[in-house]
Amino acid sequence: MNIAGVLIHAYPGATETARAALQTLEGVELHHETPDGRFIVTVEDGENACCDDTILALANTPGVASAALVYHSFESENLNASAELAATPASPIRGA
Amino acid sequence: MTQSVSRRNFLKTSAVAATASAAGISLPGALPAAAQKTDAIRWDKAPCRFCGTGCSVLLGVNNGKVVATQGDPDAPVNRGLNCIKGYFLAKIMYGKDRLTKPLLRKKDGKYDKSGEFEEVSWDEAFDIMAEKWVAARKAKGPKGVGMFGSGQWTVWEGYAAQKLLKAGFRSNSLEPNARHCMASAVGAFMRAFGIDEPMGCYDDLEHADVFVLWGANMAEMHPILWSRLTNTRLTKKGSEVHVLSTFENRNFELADNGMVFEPQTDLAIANYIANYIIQNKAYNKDFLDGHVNFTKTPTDIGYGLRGTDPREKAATNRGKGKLSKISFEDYAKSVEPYTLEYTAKLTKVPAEKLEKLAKAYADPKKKVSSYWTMGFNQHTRGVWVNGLVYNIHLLMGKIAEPGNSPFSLTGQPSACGTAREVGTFTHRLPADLVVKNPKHRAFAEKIWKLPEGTVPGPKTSEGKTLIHAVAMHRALKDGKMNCFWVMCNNNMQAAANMNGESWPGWRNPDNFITVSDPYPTVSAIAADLILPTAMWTEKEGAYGNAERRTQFWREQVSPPGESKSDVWQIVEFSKRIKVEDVWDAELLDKMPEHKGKTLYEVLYANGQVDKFPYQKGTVKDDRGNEYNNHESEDFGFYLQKGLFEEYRRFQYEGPKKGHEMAEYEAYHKSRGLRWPVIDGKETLWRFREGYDPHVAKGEGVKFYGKPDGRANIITAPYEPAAEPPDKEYDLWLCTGRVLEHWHSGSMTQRVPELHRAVPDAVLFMNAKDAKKRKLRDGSKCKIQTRRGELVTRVETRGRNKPPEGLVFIAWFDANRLVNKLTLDQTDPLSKETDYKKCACKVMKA
Amino acid sequence: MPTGKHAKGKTVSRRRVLSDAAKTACGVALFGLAVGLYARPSRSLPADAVRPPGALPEKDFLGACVRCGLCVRDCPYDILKLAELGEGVATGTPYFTARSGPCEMCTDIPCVPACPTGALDHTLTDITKARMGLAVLIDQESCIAFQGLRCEVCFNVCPVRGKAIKLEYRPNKRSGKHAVFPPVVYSDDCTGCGLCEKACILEEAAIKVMPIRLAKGELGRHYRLGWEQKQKAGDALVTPDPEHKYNLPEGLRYDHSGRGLIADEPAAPRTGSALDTLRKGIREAR
Repeated sequence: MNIAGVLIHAYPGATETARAALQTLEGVELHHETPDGRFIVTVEDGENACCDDTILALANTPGVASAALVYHSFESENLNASAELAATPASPIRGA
Repeated sequence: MTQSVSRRNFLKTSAVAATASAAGISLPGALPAAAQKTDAIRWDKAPCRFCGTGCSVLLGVNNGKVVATQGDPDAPVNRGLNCIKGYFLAKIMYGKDRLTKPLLRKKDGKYDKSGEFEEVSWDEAFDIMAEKWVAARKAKGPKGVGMFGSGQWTVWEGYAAQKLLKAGFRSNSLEPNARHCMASAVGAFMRAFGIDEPMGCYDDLEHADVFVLWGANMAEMHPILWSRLTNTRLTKKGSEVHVLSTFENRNFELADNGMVFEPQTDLAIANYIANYIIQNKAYNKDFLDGHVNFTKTPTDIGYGLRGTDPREKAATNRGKGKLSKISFEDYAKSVEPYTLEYTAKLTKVPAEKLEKLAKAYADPKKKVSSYWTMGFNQHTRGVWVNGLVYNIHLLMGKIAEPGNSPFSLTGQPSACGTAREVGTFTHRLPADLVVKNPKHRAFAEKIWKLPEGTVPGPKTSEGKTLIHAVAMHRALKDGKMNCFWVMCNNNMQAAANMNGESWPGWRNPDNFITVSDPYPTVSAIAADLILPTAMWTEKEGAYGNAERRTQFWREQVSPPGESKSDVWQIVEFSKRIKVEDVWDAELLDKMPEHKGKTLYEVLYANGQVDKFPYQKGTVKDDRGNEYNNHESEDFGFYLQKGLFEEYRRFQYEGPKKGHEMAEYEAYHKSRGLRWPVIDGKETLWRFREGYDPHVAKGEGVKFYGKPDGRANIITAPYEPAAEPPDKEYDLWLCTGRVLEHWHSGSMTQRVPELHRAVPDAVLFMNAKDAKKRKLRDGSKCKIQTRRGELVTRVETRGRNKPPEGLVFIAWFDANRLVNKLTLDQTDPLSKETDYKKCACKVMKA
Repeated sequence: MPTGKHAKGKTVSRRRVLSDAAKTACGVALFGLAVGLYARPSRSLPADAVRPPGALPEKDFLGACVRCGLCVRDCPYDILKLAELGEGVATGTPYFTARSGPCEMCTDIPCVPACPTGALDHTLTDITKARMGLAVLIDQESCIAFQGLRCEVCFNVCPVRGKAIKLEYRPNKRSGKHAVFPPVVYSDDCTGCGLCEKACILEEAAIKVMPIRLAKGELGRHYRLGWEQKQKAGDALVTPDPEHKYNLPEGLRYDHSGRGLIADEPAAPRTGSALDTLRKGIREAR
């Protein structure tokens, strides 16, 4: 599970554009907005979007001047790996 | 799920807080929106999806998803406890690879057996299926089509299937996977008592002084019952636990008298105990005089293999089971050879241990409860060996009262409630009625408002109609059955001798195989049409557990995608079949009003099943919560209630009393009721005055399943197994389960934590046997039988400790198909497969 | 091992994110802050880092280990890793993390003879004598076995079966008719392999392998447990008493060795027919 906290600065006057664009990104959630055009967003893995890629994409989002990664929590997701088991025959046994 | 959701929310909160503080922004309010989404959870009850214990759980639903479960503290079976499988119930419906759309093998836009699976609509799926089914029924007669259902079906799913096959398609080719599981128990109940299911209940676990486990690894397979048994052992003075098994399992941790016996010799042990009781004149003469008949059963009956097998040709009484009356003296004489010395030698159990066990049964002051499951039922002499334990209890009169209980445990949540009580076997009809009895067939036709002769007898002008589970796979392979519908079980992984019978049968180019399942199981992979299925609490349901307890639940969440419940599939499919397609003109002439109708109109919209109206809001709990019911919404009437109430008429109006259940709504209010339920009162112990309303005052004990009210003691000898080890295949192979996984693992293997706990099926082996083969703990090994082989790792230090000469492997692992190894031998009487005994060899891989 | 690969993949992509993000970040200072903050929530490695079997006490081990990686190479299950910079373990030294990859307890212990310096003690030839750490049931409140649920996964996976982890059955007072099967770890036999921690079905394991010095209390050297000493010696340390005799009313016995006063069982209630009662009476009198 990847969860990142990112601080975003919008270009002056482009707050609306930035907000609208951010809302369309998968895995991005807007949590707070300051009057001076800064956003606090969280980014997580979406169905079609990897958290890492989304963070990189933030900087190229219309209206965004800069995107700074401030917090990144990363937890192993291998607990769920086995759910794909049935689809992959002959998975190795214990540790092999 | 809930913990990971809250973990995610917590992390988000941290992420937002850290980002804000880095930027010097102060946030209004303590928490961001993400963390505040903790709406109230709606709790409702349901029985656990897994074993036959029938624990009740409370399901927490939030935003249309089961987010939490808890053991139901008000449930008498489990009082808030669960085993580890029950602990993860919230996750079983949310495996990543749920099936959500019908899938059909196609090539160039058309159905093709050699094609790849493509998504299709329900209409397309049922159209091709109907075409195939009608053609097969016409071409091959009643055995041309078949359905393989489940002891995990809800009660009404079994009942709807019963009607579709036996009355609709006029075919007796309906079997449940309970054939692999409980058939021997049923056979023995019918032969000894004339009525199915245990006379006692789980309260025996508190009332007994002595527990004897005959081939039931209760510690792992019925974990909550084991917890109750353990408590009695810990708290009750003088209580003792005897355990019999072909290898040391977790029961032995608590055993006062643990016995590892040579496979198949349990027959001799039971006869030795009877002999001990008779020799010591410890039997209860009054009881025998008043309530028991003595009989014998034909011997040398074969092993249920194909008729071409030399072992079948050699059998003098192949498949025979007709009882003949004998005297007490005859009976005493028949068990006389089973002396302590002989039995100890044959079974390899030390004499003093056998004697200790015999003494416990023979002590008139001790209340004895015997428990068994697959060790007894999956046995080529399963009906016999079940009966031999009844013999002991009947000799002592230790039966049908608190603490004195021979108790056949069930493996599936509704093996009793659905497979057995509804009778979804080829030879049965609801409420203990049988196909071979013309009066019973006529009664069923009357209830169902169908012309006389609709339900086919065992022999018809179109040929013999009865066909059991193992024979179905053989018939598919031989091309005698062309359409097969598997619901709510994973028979490709479960049926024995997969290489020799199951796989060639299913992939036979003449055959059309439909599998209804929530997940892509091994069976689904081998199918031609896969129907996505709503599971467990995605539908309204009812299960019946091993102590005759019927439990209901409401639809808690909606099924994903286009999945639909089994009962919806059965009823919807019936709309595609015209009566003329499957009934002959002569029959139809008896009720011309059915001409031109579909099976749906004849079987389900028949004025009875559709008599309870349904609209949104009909299903409500006493706290005002409303529940969906996707089937009733689609069909426009309260389908489950209609089916159940029609089924109940078999219990009240039928020729066999003792199966009465309460009305539909009563079960939504209670954590289950133990039948017979008469005037709202449950029955705890059957056949005994005071406890059982069917036993009149002054009668004391009455086995009313039999016309003369007397139970049968049935003598049967020890006979060897079908495939004992020899020089080449030098080990016994025994298969079974582990606590963490259930059956073929299609649900539990999709719970990451359970998968991590036990990811693979390993081969439990005695360290000395391993050493002889230059194997050690963890070594890769190959297991080979005459039918197949597989590779796994050796475990010599694990929970099961086999004696030298025997190995054990669990069958849940889809990556190691254990049933490539096993032999398709059955009890010739019950037709239940013996998965516990065949010969194998093990070598380094 | 799919889990191993998975984890490695993640590490790489995390680095890429960090370095790429740094380029677009508005300031170096903010980036520094970011690293600090991200490092905080990630789990601290030393607490769950376990040394391979036969490792000398940590101080000696650090002196003896030449960071050659031969033990890592010879681990057939690929669970051993060499610590990388910033992981909190001395860089280049071998360790494993029980939750993700526990020691599989090979009977021939290939990692130990591989060690060229004796940092892994070559006299260790029986893996059950290894003491990599000690499993501790650290949270009885969340362990579902302690609540009476039938889990026991740690007990079932323990390779020193029935010795290192035992179930101590007791009645479940809350339910009144079930038992509780809580697992208890015995340090005499626990090797610290971590299979139990890996298998624990909770989101965060309730049983964890810890360094022995953290995990274990120590009884004052002036006191010993009498029953254990007796068991070890195989007999009482001081000769037991001669047989005791007591003045007792009829029907009562006294068991010196623990059960105390014992009354014979009361007669069963009379339920059957008169004939039953008469027969029973004679049998019991005999």
